[in-house]
Amino acid sequence: MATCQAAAGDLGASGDLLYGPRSCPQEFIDFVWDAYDFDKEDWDQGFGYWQACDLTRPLARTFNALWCLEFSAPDFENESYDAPILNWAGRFARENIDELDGRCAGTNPNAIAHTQWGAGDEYTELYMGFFFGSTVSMRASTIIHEARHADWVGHDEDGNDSSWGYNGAWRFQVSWLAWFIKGCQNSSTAMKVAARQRANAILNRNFVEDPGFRIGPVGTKDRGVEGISRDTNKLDVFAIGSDGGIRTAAWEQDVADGKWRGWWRIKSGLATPGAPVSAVARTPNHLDVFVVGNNGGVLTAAWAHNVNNGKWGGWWPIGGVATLRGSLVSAVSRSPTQIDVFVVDKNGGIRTAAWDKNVSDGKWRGWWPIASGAALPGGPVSALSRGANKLDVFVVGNDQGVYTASWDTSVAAGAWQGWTRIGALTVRPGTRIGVVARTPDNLDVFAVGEDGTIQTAAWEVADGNWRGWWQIQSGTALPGSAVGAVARTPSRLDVFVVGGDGGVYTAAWAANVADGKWQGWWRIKSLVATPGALVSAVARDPEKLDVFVVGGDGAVYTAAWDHDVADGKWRGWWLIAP
Amino acid sequence: MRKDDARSPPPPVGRERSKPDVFDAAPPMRAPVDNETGWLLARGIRAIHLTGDEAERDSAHVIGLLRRDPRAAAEVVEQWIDQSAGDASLRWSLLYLLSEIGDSACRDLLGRQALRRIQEGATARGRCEQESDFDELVSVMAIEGLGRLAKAGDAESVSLLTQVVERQERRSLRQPAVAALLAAGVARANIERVLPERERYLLGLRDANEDDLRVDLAHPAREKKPFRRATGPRPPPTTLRGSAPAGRCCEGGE
Repeated sequence: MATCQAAAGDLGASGDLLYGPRSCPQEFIDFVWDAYDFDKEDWDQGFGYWQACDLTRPLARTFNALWCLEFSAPDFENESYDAPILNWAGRFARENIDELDGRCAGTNPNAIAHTQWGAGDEYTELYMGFFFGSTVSMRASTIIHEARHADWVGHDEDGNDSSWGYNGAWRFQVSWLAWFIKGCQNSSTAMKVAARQRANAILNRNFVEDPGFRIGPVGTKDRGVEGISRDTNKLDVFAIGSDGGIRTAAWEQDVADGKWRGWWRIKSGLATPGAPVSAVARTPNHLDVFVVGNNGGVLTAAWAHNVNNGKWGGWWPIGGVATLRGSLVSAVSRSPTQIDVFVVDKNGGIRTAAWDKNVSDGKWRGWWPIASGAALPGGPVSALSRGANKLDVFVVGNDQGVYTASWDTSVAAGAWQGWTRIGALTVRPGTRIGVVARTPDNLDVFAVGEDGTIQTAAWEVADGNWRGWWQIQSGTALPGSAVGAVARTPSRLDVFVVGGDGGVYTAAWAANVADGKWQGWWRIKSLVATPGALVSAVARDPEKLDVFVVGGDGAVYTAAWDHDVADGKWRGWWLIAP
Repeated sequence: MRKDDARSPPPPVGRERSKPDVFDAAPPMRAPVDNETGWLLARGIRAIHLTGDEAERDSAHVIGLLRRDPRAAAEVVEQWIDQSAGDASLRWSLLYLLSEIGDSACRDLLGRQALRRIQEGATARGRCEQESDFDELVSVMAIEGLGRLAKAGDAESVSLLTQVVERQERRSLRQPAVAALLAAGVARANIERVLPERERYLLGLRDANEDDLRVDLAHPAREKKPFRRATGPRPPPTTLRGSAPAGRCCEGGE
C-alpha cells in the first residue's frame, strides 16, 4: 500500500468544471460503477468513494473522463461498431476493461495508466498523472487506449505501434481524439485544440512508420460561412457554430441603423461545427438552407417572410443519400419554384436531388447519380444555373483533374451530359472550384492548382470548348484553397482567396480595362484568416461587393467595397458579432 | 456506491498486484489573482473551457480586453507559469490566451516556452503514456502561438520557430514548428535547410481524412480473448444534480 498526495490544479483549465456537473448524477455513476467494474476498496481511502463529485479527487475526475467517452458523439445513442469510434468508444471500453482501479503509481513511476491483460487477473490501473496531469478529453482518450490493451492488443514495437495499419492502441487513441475534435458538440474549442495537439504528438512519436498525415485544424470552424443577398439592400450570412448549431445573421440597410443583427439559431438542427452551409434565395422573401447532418444525411430548412410569422421551418431530411459529415451540399435555384442540390456521397458518387413546388406535391425527388462521375467522398460539388432549364456542375475527379457536367432540358432529352475534363490542370482532391456565369452563354471557373498558382478557365457557348487554364497574375495560395468568385456585370469578374499568409486577396477582370487582363492581387485590409478558407462574395449591385470570411479567431468578418464610397477603397473588416 | 454498498467482493486470494493505496488531497493550486490583468486571465481561462454562446462571447470579450495591454498580459502569464510547474493544463491555457491575443509583445515568452527543454521521460521506450506528455503540449501551444504571429508577418517569430526546428530534440516539437513555418509562407527550401534529411517528409504531410480515421476492431491478438463483458443499457446524459445522495458528496468520509 502506498500513500500519495496531489493537488488539483485549475479546475477550469482541466475541463473538470465543465464536465463535473454532467458526471455527478447518481444514475450515471451507478451505471459506470457497474459497467467498468469499479470496486469500493480501489477507490476509497481518499480516492473519492465518499466524495464522488469532489473534483479535487481521483474518482470524480475519472467519472468526468467516462462521461466524455460515453457522450461526446452527437448521436451517442448509436453505438454500432460501423459508426465512428466516437460513437462506440464507451461500449468498447465497457466490454473490454475488466476492473478500473485508482492507484498512486505503477511500477513505472512516470506512467499514467497500466492495463494487465492476458491469461490470469485482468485490470486497468489509473495513476496520479492520469487524474491530475491531463484534461478530461485526454483522460477519455487514455481510457480508449487502455481498453485496446484490455482487448488483448499490445504494442508491437517497444511501447510504440509499428504502423497505423497495425491497428493498435495508439491508433485507437488518435482516432478517438480526432473524432472528438471533429464531432463533439458539448466541449470547448480550447479542449479540442489541446486534443488535436495531443493526437499529433502521438502521431509524431508513437508510430515507427509515420502515417504521413496529421490531424488538421479544429473542426472546419475556420472555413464555413456563406453570404447571400436577397435584394440590393439585404444580406444574410449562415454558419455552423462550435456547438453544431446552424446560425444566421442579417443586415438590412434601413434596419437597426444598418448594423448586423443575429446570430439566430435556425431551429434545433445540428451539424458539424464549422462545416459549410449552403443557402439560396429563391425570391427576396424566401431563403432555403442546406447542411449535412450528423448522421451523414442532407437536411434543409426554409424561411419565408410571410409564412409562420417569418419563423424558420425545418429541419427536414432530403432522404436517400448518405455522405460524410461536414460535407458541402451545393444548392442552386433555377427559378422561384425550383431548387437543385448536389453532393458527393460517401462512396464518391456525385448525386443530385430536385424540388419543384409544382411537381410531386412539392416533395423532394432524387437522389440521382450524375452520369457515372466519381470524386472524393464528401468532396464539394460546385453548381450554377445559366437559365431556368440549365445546370452546370464541377468537381475535382479522382485523377485531380477538374471536370464538368451539364444538364439542359432541351439537350439529350434532358439527360446529364459529361463528364468533361477542363484542360490539364491538376488540383488537390476535395478542392472547391469557384464558378460564375456572367451571362447565360459564359462560364468562368477558378481553382488553385497543385502548384499553388491560381488559375482560371472559360467557356463560351459560341465555340462550345473550354479554354485555359490561365494563371491569374502571379497570385498563389495553398493547394486545396477555395477561390470565391462573383460577376458584378456580364463584363466584370472579381475573385477572392485567402493566401498562404492568411491575408484575404482579390483580383479583378473587366473586359474593357487593361486590355482585358486580370488586375491584382490586392490585399483587403489586414484581416488574418485561415489559409485556404473560402471567401464568400456577393455583388448586391454592379458597384458593390461584400465578402465574408471566418477569421483566424473563429469569428465571422465582413468587408465591403462600393465604387461610390471611400474613393472606391475596401472598408472593414467588421466583426459580425458576437 | 453508497455507504452500505456490498457489491464489491474481496479480492481473490493470490492476486499478484498492488494493494489499494491511500490518497491525500492537497489544497488545490490557485493562480495568484492580484491585479486586473490576473483577474482577466482567470476569467479568460474559465471562459475558453466552457461551451455555449455566452462562454464564446465572454471569451471574445476578455481576449479583447487583454489585447489592450498585451505586455502586461505576457508579464502576468510568465509569473503564473513560473508558479504552476505542476499544472500543465493551466500553463497550456495561459499560452492559449496569449496566442489568442496575437501580439508581438507576447513573442518572447512564447519563444522561451517553445524552446525550453522538457524533462526526459516522455521518450522512455517500452511505455505508453507518460506524465510529461502533457508538459510537452505546453510547448506545442507556444509554438502554435508563434505560428500565429509569424503568419501575421512577424519575422522574429519566424526566427524563433526556425530555432525550434534546429534545436528541439523532439520530433513532436519540430513537426508543429515546421507546420507553423509552412503556414506562415516560409519557403520550403529555407525549412529544408534546418531539417534533418530523414525528416524532410514532414514538409509533405497531409491532413487526415475520415477514411484514415475509420477504426476496425479486427486484430489477430484480440481473437484470443475468451470473453467480453456485457453491460446493461446506458442511461441518457442528464444535467440533474439533485439525484446524488448527499453521503457521497459532502458527508461521511474516512
